[in-house]
Amino acid sequence: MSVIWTSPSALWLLVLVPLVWLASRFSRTNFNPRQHLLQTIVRTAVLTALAVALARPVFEVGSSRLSVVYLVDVSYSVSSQSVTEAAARIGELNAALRPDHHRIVAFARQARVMADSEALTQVVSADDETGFDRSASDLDAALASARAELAPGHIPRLVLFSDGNATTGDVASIVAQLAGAGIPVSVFPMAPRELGDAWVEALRLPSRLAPGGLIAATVDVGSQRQTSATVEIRNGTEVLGSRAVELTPGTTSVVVDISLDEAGAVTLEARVTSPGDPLETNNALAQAAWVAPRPRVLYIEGTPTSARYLESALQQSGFDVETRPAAGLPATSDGFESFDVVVLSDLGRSVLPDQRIAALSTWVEQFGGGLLVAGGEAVFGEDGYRESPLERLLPVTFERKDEPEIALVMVLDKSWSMAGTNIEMLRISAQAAVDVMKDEHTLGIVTFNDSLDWTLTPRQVGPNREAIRAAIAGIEPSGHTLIFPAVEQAYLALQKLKARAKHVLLLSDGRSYPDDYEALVKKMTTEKMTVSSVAMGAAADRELLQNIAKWGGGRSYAADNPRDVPQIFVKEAKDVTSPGFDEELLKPVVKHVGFLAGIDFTRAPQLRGRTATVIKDTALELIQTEDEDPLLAYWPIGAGRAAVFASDVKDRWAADWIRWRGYGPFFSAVVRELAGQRFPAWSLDLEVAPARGVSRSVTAIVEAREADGQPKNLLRPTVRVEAGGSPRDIVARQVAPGRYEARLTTDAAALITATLVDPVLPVSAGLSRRFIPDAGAEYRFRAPDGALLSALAASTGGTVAPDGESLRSGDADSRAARRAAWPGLVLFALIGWAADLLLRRVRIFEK
Amino acid sequence: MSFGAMAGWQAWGLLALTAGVMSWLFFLKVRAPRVHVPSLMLWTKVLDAEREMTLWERIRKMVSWLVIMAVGVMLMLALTRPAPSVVAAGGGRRLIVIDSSWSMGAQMPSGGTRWRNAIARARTLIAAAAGDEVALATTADGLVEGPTTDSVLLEAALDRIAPAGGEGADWPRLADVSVVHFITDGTIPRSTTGLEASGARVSLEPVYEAAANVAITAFETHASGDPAVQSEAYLELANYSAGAQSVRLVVTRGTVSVADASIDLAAGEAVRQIVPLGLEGDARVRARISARENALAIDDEAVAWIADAEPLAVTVVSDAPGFLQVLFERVPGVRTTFVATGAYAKARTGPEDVLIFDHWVPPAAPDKPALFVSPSSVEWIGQLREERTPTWTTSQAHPVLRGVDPSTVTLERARAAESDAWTPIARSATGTPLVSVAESLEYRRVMLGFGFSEAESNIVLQPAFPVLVVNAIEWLARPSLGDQVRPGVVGLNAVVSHLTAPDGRQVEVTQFGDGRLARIMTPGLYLAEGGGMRSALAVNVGDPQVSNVARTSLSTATLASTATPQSNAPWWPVLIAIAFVFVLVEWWTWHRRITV
Repeated sequence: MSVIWTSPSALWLLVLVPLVWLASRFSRTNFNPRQHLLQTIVRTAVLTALAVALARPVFEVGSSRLSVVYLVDVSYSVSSQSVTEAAARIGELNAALRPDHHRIVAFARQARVMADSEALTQVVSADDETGFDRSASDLDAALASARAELAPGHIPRLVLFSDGNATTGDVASIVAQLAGAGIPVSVFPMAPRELGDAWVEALRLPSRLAPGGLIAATVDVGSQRQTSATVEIRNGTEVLGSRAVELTPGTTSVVVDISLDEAGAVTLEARVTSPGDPLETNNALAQAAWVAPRPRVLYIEGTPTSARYLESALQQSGFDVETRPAAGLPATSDGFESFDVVVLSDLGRSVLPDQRIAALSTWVEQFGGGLLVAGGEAVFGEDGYRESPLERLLPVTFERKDEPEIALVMVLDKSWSMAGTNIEMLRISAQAAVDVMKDEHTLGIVTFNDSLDWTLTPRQVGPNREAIRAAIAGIEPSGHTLIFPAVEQAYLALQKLKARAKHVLLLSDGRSYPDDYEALVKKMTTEKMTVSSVAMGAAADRELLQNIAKWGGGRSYAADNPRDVPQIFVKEAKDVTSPGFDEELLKPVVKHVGFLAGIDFTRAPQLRGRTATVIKDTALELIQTEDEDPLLAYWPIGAGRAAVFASDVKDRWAADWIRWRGYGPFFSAVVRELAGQRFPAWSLDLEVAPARGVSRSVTAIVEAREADGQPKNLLRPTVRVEAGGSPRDIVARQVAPGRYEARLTTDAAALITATLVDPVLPVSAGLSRRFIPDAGAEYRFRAPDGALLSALAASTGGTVAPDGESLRSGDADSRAARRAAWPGLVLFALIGWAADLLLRRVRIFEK
Repeated sequence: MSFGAMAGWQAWGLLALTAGVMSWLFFLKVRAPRVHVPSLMLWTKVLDAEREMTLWERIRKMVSWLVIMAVGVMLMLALTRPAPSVVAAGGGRRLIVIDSSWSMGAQMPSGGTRWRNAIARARTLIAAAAGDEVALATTADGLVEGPTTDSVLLEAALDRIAPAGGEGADWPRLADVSVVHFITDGTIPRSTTGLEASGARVSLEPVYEAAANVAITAFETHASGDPAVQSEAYLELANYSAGAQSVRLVVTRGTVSVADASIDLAAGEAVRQIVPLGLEGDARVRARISARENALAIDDEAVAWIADAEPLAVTVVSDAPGFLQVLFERVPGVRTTFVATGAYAKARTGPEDVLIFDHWVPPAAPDKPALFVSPSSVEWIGQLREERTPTWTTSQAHPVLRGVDPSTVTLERARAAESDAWTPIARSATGTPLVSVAESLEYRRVMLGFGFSEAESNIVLQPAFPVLVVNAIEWLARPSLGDQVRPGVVGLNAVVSHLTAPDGRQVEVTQFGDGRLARIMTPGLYLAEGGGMRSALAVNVGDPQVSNVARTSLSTATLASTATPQSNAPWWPVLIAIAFVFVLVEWWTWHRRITV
């Protein structure tokens, strides 16, 4: 038993009670001391009773009287047989318990007290005329109704017969109330209706949907028999994907690949069709989804004519791509604001000013931008990115893992036409080239006029620098121009040399006899030699020299001013002695699958070249060459991410890749991984509460953030809500830093769409969210929700499938009945008052 | 006058009987003590006695009789529970629902509160029910008492209830109810469609009287997460009165005042403010306002909790804590102690919030939240599973893994325990647990199935390293309890075993499935504990609809339909109180022979 003091302050009156004893000490009455004592005790008791009565105690007392309310789920999803069994079980329990009070409450959408168990079975019989709405299960309301049926002053017991699949209401709320009131709920799981039916149980979508790409949607299909079926997913009338499946009794999960073209709110419907299906209502399930805006990619291509390959691959994979030349790279970080990823492809150092790289760095590191740098021969060379600010951002350094053995043969024109400034510049150029060559490199010099001369037979540079310098100084003009034999000699000499890179640098200012240069140079390229050419002056055979460079896989230069030649020679020497790329067939090897899961590299063609890079210590190497050089490297940097694809993305080194089926998926996976790190400026969510009767409360939550993730405050975003009737514009009120809420109550059955519509806000995609109530929820014959029923019993102190004995026992009995104590106390005081008076009129201890 | 306990004739009869009994007892002649005296003295005495019956003596006797009668009649009258006459409204089972929204606590210009009027109205309705079954409910608590015909119980229940929110709660249910009396001020609009659909007649009983109020209608903090960027609080104040008011605002962080200002608010004006909270300070943030015309007290204070503000004490038990040492030197807000495995005492009671066991597991399970890094084999942790060069393939959405990019992590080997106690949240391609968590009301643990050395993984080189370790420590010591909540049924993290109200009272926490539920009925900062962690839950009213007590959703017709309820407190306590005084005083006067 426990006591609740309603007005405990009245107990302070008890401090006056000792005055009774004080007064009796100064008494002038002449009663016998024993009667005097008795009078004082009675008066004390009367006053005490009155003071305690004023404190209004309420006793919570135990009771042996039992009140049981049986709560039976008669919704459509429960089999009639289960209801009949429940009625029988109620009879058994009543026979065992003999409760002092009991009620039977049937529930589905509403709850109703049944006269007896026969009336209960009548509800689910075919000829039911009571009009019981069985199209929903409101467990919350049912438990509340059952609680109200418990007889006051009795030991309370609720016994629930249900499949636990509530379709409306909030069970958690009533559980907290029942647990707080000490009312145990015992449960009996009920079997679902058996119709041999198949239905869509759930449609599960990835948390983030993007347009264009493949989306693996999972449809959980429930079935009560073995059957074949077709599962499809629709967007409106358009079928996005379908699969034929074999269903077995229970739940079958079917993955259907779908693709969505447009960003925004969509309503997807999963549908199952099977032969002989008895119930149509549950064959479809609609679910709202939000397709994120297409990620925006800024593609800066050094060779604009080759941009179409990656551009179209990314567009087909759901990206919005804006292609610009190098000059289009924004100069400030704000300029990158509208993009998610920047792709820099085959850009020379000279076209990317430091200021723009600094802006790019800020955007990546501070604002979470994504950066992909693709290789190409322009990326390197004299003005490469070695130790540049861009290199700091990237997961690789632009250097070679090991310096290759180099053999360079200069084939130099020394005909009469070179006399004067030209020959002088030739000597200076050759010497400057030698100066940048390393000691271990090999150099040969062939000079030609109408004959040829090995001015310097191929030899190592280091020990012969003085001899080379002398040989160059000794070149003097004479004779006519005959190029072919000199080039042929260079070829023969290089053929005998062992070197990883073999290069010929041809310089001429005149015209030679025609010959089969093409065959010779192509033969050289097949033996991994490269040829560059320099046409010196206007009289040079520029066409021939250009062709030789083109056939030879090298570069051609036209130097109108002889003074330009030295820097050309230096560049060539640098490039050949420290080449930034390897032009050879490369087989990609997957080192770490990471975000490339799902791309079949077994059929990936070879790449034709790559930029020389070395992976940084903390970076992740996903793809490498067979020589373990990085091909795709990745790392997070600051708030953003950066990746380097060391080959190119176009029709030079990736000429075979662009025809590969994996080309698009590969680059879209890379770009998608790089995107998504940025804080969305705006987000919108719908928080939909469980339906309560005919209505439900809905909260649209808007979050606004700066680019660096800090909250945007003091705004007034407007949310347009459509919920059955005409749209309402509601100004969301701020409730926390960066967080705004719009609350409203809607019809429980209404489809709810919330859209961020404020025209002054920079919301490009018109954020929208939708909630679709499941009108067919009651008709999805799921297995009993044992977890919920067990939790319900455990939370309230009930049991699962109890017998009479366990229902009677329980620790909640001590609070079964409440009694207000004041009437008893006042009655006691009244009787005491009469006794007090009697004791003052009758001398009971005197003769 | 009517009588709550019985019919009128019964009550009057009992009162008459009481008066009669009291009179009879009073006029009983007290027999004098028996003494032997000479007859002359006896006659002298008798004659003297005759002479003493003066007017004063007669008055004294009359007053004494009246007092004795009055006490007896008052006590009997109290038992009959008299009340002002009400018209009996017969007609079956009835449900009285009292709107327990916070707005019902508004002080009215005419004195008293809406709640007081609602209780008075309920008493009248209970009295009018006269023999019919009545159930009493509030919008916050649901059914409170009944259905019963015992009005004593119902009245006792009326004394127990108080405003407690419940704006979003469903209507209380009662089958076969003929009429639902909804006593409300109409501040929070409620559709009665659901009630009417059940066939009951709904009678709105308005207790609205316009009142002026100022309120904090929104208050929440944002921890920047960056030690260089200060946290901030968002605050919204509103003046729901017909005239301008000067409102004093005080914002404190712990005991430090961060804002103290007087703000002039026009009639109906709401101001929104961002209050910078500084770079560091107490986790408790409190905003308080005061103003001249302020009908509601419940919305004058709002609280928030900055979980990151309190430093965490971490003890690392490791023989080679190199990487962790470097990491914790750079993590703000973490105080670290390093202990060698040999020095770790079995039954230690250190001050740490979190223990980290690196490549070693104590023989007995620790009683504090713990992070195990590449655990060694002990019986209690479970069977160890090892894998060479595992690939991190699957990750669940879990706070420990938030912001961890598994694609950057290369693992050389993994070693992790597998048992029912652990829930893997990241696995390798072959299923080896790479990150697991375990939580119950007694403990809270995280296990990383890989170490930090170069031979085990590259994680120390990756941004994932600090993110993962700090996430794990935060989850262990300061799990999220959810966003700031409003009073009502609150879903809590499964680890919360004790919830302490601001007044020190324990709030009952109910396990329901994987989570826990608590009915939080008053705003304030609640301390949550469990599994070795301590955190706080900020509960605020924060609702303009509640605070705007100057308007009602009730129609003019409804407001006019019922007169403002008169005070209808029960008479019996007054009767008993008077009787108490009479009984006490009469005892003194009788002993002093003032009364007889």
